[in-house]
Amino acid sequence: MPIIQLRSVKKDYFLGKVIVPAVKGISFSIERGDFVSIAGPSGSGKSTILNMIGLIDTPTSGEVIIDGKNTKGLSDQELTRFRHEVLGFIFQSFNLIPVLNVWENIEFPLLLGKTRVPKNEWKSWIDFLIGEVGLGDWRAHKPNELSGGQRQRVAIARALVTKPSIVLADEPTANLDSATGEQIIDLMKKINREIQTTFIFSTHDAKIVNIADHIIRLRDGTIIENRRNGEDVAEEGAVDTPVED
Amino acid sequence: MNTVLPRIAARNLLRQKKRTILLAGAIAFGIMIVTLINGFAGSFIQNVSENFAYLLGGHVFVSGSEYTASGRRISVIRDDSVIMQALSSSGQRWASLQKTSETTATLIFEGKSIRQNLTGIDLAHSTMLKERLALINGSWDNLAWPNAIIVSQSVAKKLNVLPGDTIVAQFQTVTGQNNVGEFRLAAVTVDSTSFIGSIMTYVQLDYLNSLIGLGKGEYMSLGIMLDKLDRSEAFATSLYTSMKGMGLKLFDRSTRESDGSMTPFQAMIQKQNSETWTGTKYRVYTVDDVLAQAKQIVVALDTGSVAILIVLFAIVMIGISNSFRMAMYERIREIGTMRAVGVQRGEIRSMFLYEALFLALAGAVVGIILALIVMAILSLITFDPQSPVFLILKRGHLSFYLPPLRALGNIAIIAVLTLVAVYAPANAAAKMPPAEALRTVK
Repeated sequence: MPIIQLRSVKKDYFLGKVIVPAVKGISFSIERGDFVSIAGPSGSGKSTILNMIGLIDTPTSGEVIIDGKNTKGLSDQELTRFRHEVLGFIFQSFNLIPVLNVWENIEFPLLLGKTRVPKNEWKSWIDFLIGEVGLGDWRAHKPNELSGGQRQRVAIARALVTKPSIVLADEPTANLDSATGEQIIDLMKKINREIQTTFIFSTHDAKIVNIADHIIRLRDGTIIENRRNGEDVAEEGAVDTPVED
Repeated sequence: MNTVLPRIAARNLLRQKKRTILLAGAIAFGIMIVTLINGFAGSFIQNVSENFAYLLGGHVFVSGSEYTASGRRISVIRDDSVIMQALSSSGQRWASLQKTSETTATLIFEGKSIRQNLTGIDLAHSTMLKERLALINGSWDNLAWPNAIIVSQSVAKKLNVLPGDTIVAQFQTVTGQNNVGEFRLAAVTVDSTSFIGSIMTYVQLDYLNSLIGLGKGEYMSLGIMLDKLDRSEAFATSLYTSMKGMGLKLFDRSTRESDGSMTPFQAMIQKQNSETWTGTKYRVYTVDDVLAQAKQIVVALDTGSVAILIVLFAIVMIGISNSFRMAMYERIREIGTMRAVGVQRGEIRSMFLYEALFLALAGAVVGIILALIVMAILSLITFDPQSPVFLILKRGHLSFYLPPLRALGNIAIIAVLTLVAVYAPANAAAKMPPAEALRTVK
């Protein structure tokens, strides 16, 4: 079963009285353990789709099914709990908590409630992640003492700390130089292979796109290409015919 | 308990030091002013009561009233053995007893005269006199003279008398006869609580009794000095019960709970005036009963201080509310991030409220410390002994007493007001949809 299914998902934004359609009714699935790229130019709907998969935004219509659970109609509290358990986030501008040091930033999600990591394993797990992202000597530093690349590594470790099923990365390389950007993508790919976490990242950088197993290309809120392991994926359900309850 | 959110809240305070110092400083200033007022009010009543207690010679008093054959009401305790028995059986401790008679007299010396209240006590054995009064002239030894009189410096000056001089006094006996007596000036007083000295003239109890028509061993009122002022009410109640148990006639102490149009003490006196009885009827009262009006001043000061607290803080709270609104916008992406990684709405709100609470507590504690320092400095100032503010002073110095509960109450008020001020921005931060918060570009 796919880990993520989007069914006829539409998202409209309201700018005053003007309705701006950001995502125009799209459907696709993502398989467990894949390294997925959502590609497209600015304004194509990448971030909106990631936000909806990440349950921090809700579709205007359509359904988002994560890990077998239809998220439609969940309360804010339930969505938050679900995010905490199942999802990890990496942001374009790192978004670390400035008053916490590297170790505390990585630990932070563990402190927010029950996770898949037993409490007696927290320390060794965080130490392992810090080692993985190569920040062993920086654990006591605050974010403002780190370079952009280092900050993004902290963010990756933070995203992984709860052992989520899915890690979402919204343009994780956009604020980094290309060499650092490639290192970050390589690191994500390495972790993807090692611990079989599903990674979904959005980008408009053609070089990075091609590292992915599964590429979903967008333009103007619709899918123009959906290829997995070099083959086209058949559309599930017709575009523009949202499922109504 | 999850301590990470309070920890972040505390660190956020330190992150914007200028803002925190300004806001906490405003809170501290307000708390300081209010604490000073409370501290002054707290000691005001104590000082007034203590000073009056010495002026009147006790914290708790028993006085007796009876009607003479001619229907005149006089103040007298003929036989105090039952009172003494009641005192011992009340099970309470006291520091000293003082038997007092008094009369108003005109003192005359070489054509000069002055009207004074003469207080008759056992001069030679009074510890109170030596504790509270300082002599400028004469000697404590002279107090052994049977017709000794102690006057204040101002009275001595007015009459132009020196120790050893004989002063003539004109007065009425308890039954209303005119009488005269001769007193010999033993000492002239001045002391730091000068006003007591300047209005009090002390004479020998036995000699005064013989002049005003009371017998030996009789007197008008018994003053009971306690080791602690705040025990007076409990002491009076227990003495009252004990005396009642001995079968003595007593004026009801419950009249003190009267309607408030007059002080409880006035109410008791009025009741006494409207009654007739036979034999001796006693009343038991405390220095606080006499000073009920002074207590009203304290209530007014305290109420005023709460009003000031609220007005002052209404202004401070507007500043705090705006600051937190700005902080919320400054941290909007952090809020979005926290929400994304699993922080619940309520926890975002709590985080801001923690921050506000820490700010309020820090400000309040600093404010109280500042107030204590200011109090310590003000207490060092020595006032002129002749100063009319004597009654509110403690041995010539301002003094402060801050009731701990009131200090805690002020802190609580500040904490609640701050939380109220910050609730709206905290709630707005909590309700911000995470996607929108994350989209916002600072």
